[in-house]
Amino acid sequence: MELSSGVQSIATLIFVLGSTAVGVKLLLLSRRTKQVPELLLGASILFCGGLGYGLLIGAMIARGTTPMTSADVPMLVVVLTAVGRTIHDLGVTLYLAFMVYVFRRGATWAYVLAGAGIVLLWGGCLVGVAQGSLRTGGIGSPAWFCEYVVIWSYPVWNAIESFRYYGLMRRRTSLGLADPIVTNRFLLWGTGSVFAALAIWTASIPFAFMSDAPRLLVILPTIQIVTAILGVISVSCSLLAFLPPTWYRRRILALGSAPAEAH
Amino acid sequence: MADSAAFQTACGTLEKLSTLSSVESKFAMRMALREAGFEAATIAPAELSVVVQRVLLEELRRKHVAAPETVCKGITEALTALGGSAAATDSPDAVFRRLGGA
Repeated sequence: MELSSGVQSIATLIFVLGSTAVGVKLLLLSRRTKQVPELLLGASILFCGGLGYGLLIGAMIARGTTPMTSADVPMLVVVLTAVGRTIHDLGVTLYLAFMVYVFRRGATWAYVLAGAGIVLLWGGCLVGVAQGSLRTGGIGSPAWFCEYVVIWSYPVWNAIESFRYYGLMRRRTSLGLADPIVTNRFLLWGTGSVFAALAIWTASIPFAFMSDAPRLLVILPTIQIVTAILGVISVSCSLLAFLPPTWYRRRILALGSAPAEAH
Repeated sequence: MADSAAFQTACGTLEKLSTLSSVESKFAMRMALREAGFEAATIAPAELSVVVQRVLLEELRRKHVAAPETVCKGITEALTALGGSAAATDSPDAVFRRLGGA
């Protein structure tokens, strides 16, 4: 249990710091370029992976050994949960906006899907808060499901869009019409989204065992380690995509046969 | 999403300079775009010019269209006249190019 907690703590720190670095880098880029996509993605990564996730982990630490279903928690837990969830859900909202703006602008179905997601996310969050979920978590309630169905699914949509575009870019690269580094960036972003989805799903498994504490104690170490590994892989993909080190750029260029950068 | 001005111009010119019908011209152009990994809604004139020279030319040869080189040259000239050589700043590839920049 101690080993898994230690691994999870280190992995969480890596995830939060990595997400913050990528988010801040993209926000600084948006200040320079005055373009919307970098603003949306930078803010969403910072809000979801950096601030939101960090604050929610802080709330869990502040909760200590108090069971998730118990309403008898310190005010600090309530405040951290409220701020963390608001920032996290704002990040998810911006994430959806980024996907529609970049990949599906003008597509009515995408606006409807993203709009429905935002309504479910915030509707579930607000109804849950009204029902006391800042103290108890509200796990398993209809409001909780409304919020979580969006949290579970938005990285999947992003992965699908990224992999679809990666397919297009590969064909362009083979004709010398695309930069191999940019092509690889779609692959990294899609892969990172898949691992983010897997991490979110794995981290949600304990919710199904809230009423079975002995069993939860047995499975928790494995879940903590798996979630940690998945989260680190996900943030590593983001770092390689948006803060690529020179050695990685060289490697991709060496693998690609097309001329780079000067697309 | 509506087809881009570049795509519409290329299809119109292909139809005018060859014996292909409107439907056949659009089909041939869409096949070329698909092979090159572009979409009709977002492709820029400069990108389409390259696709015409590198992919459509072969496609027209396969279809036994008369003087395919002349047809492709005509399409390229029409696309050049259309202007706007740079790719859109908000296309996914342009966005992802910026996102990884220094």
